Amino acid sequence: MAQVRNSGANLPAIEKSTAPGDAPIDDLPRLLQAAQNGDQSAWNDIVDRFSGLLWATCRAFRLSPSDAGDVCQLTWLRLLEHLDSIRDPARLPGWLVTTCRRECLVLLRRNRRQQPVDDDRLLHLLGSDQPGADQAAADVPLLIADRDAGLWQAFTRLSERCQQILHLLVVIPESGPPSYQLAAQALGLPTGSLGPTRGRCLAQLRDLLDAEGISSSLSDS
Amino acid sequence: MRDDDELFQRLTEMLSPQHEPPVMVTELAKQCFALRTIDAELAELTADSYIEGTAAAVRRGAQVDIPRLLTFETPGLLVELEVGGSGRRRRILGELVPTGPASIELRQPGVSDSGPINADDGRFVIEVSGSGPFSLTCRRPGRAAVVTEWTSLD
Repeated sequence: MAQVRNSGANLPAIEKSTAPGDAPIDDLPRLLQAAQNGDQSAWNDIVDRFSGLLWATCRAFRLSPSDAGDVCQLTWLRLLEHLDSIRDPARLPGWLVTTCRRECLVLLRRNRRQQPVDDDRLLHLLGSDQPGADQAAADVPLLIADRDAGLWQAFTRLSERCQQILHLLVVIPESGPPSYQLAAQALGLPTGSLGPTRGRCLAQLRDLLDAEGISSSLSDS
Repeated sequence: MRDDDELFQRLTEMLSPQHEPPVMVTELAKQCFALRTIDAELAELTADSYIEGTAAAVRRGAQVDIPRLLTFETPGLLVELEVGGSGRRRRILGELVPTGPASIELRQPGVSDSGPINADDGRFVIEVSGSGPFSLTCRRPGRAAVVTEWTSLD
């Protein structure tokens, strides 16, 4: 946010901020165009479609519900600011998560402004050996089924990075490369690293479950 | 790998419900469509003392009392703001560069418009209640309106 950028209503940010190859999502072009023409119901549909993605991105950064709400709102206001400059609807999801991630980092930096840090250090600060991790571990889903209790325990023992990645991947609806791409954008990671990392995280999770004597298979549930 | 898919499926069932955003968050996002401005030039935030001036603030040991300085820019206009106060009572001191007559409007999601404020010499004071994001609309005679990028008051 701090760097000087070109101003004006036709920012190229939408075109720059995403990698190519996002799968087009059915009627997104129509919705986007209608919203650009002032159609409130089209805007509502876009909000309904991507709110979960933005919420998950915020929660992957361990923002409190209140902070996550603020960041989501700011992200939607940003989209509103740049709505007319979006030329390629397929890039909208990537633009949203990139914008959301940036606002998450701004908020975290502001919350910790007595201790200025760069983004990498911030991510490290969010790691499992930090005080914040206790709060994160206590953030248990309210309606967790009994059979998931062991899985939840194991999940909270994963590294922060693994938890972030798995959190995001479960909520991004598309399967295949685009979901990796979105999750990578949300976390600021190279897309290519995400598939292998997902595998390693799941392997770690399985080890933790095995160590607890809990089956990692679905067949017994 | 099949095992991975099974485990991931269980994770999905466990984690998905907590990723439902609260209804209020989604509702606010829908309502903000009314705040869209058309044909206004966007002034981007180019400096924010909360983000850049942190080290100095800490050294002085009183960062809470130091007003926040914000700069928004378009090629033709600089909007300099000093945000003081805290919580639900804030005061924004503003200055336009170049100076000149203007009217300023404050926009905040969920807060009704309080009407334009005159900035005859390019300077203005706005009392703000509430927190959350804000944007100013600057109207100058014979020029396109300028809106400042949405920025959190906190």
